Amino acid sequence: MAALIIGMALVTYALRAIPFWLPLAGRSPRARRFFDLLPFAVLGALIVPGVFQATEPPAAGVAGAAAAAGLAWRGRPLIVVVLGAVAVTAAVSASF
Amino acid sequence: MKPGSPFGTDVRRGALDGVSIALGYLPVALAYGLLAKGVGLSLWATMGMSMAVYAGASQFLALTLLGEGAGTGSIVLLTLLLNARMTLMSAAIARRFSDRRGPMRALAAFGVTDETFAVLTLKQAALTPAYLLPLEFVPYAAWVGGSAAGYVVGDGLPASLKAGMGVALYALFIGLVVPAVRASRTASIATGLSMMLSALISRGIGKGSAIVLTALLVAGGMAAFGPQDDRAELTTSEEEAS
Repeated sequence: MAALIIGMALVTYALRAIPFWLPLAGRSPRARRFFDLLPFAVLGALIVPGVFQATEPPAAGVAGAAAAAGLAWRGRPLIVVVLGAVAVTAAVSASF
Repeated sequence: MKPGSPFGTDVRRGALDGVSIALGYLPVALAYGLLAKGVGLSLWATMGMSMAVYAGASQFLALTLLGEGAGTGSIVLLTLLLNARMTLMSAAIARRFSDRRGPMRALAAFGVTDETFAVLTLKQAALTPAYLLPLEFVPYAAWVGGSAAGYVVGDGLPASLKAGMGVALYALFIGLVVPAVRASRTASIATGLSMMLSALISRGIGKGSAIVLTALLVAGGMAAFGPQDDRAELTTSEEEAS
């Protein structure tokens, strides 16, 4: 078990640490643009399809996600967006 | 340190943003602790894995494979594949992390996750250690503490609350993306493309690879072929309410 944990930890930390020591990409405009776009390219993939599988039935999670989108659209702070979505999802989930 | 964001303000903002992430980690960590006990891990191994690996999806994968009798080598190899996306995320954070000191960079690298990456790259332009470290290590404490709690006391949350907390991480991602999408057409196109592509790709391959492939195709494609003159609209505004 110790070997497994150490192996997993080393592999994962190496993946995280390498870019902090070896800059993988240059400072060209294209590289900058790639890294500016990266958060959106990653977040889209983190939200879909996961959000449709987050709760059973999916409707509760989708309602929570819609609440989050509405709160964020109105410029509410992140913590309010998260707590609002949790409350809406819990309420919808409890009503099933 | 840039003017207008003294040390204390950065720490406070970082900790507060960290709490948003920690809230989402708690139910996942509880479930992990409970499952680890079910698979037969000791409390020490359960917590040790959370403390040393700190990567939820691969920890669940390890438990599942241990339950099926898989060997150490194959679990470590799958961990490498599943967590390869961390390198992409670390690269984005590293180029904006202002501190050059070795130990500081080593610490900052340890706390990179999907969620800390999302907040760090979208909320604040200049990444000081005073903002980054609390943001990364508040969720870490929740992850380790939650793992232990799940193991020891089990997952005693009512089902509806658990469902609610299960959506917290998605709410976090949505809360980060919506203001940018609202302000920038380029951000909307990138997010929309990524959602569509991910929906297609994730049917065929595993979660980690689907995220890497989608991100590379969308960001790479748009950086290579998109217009080059709209960089200004993508840079994050310096902090809305927090």
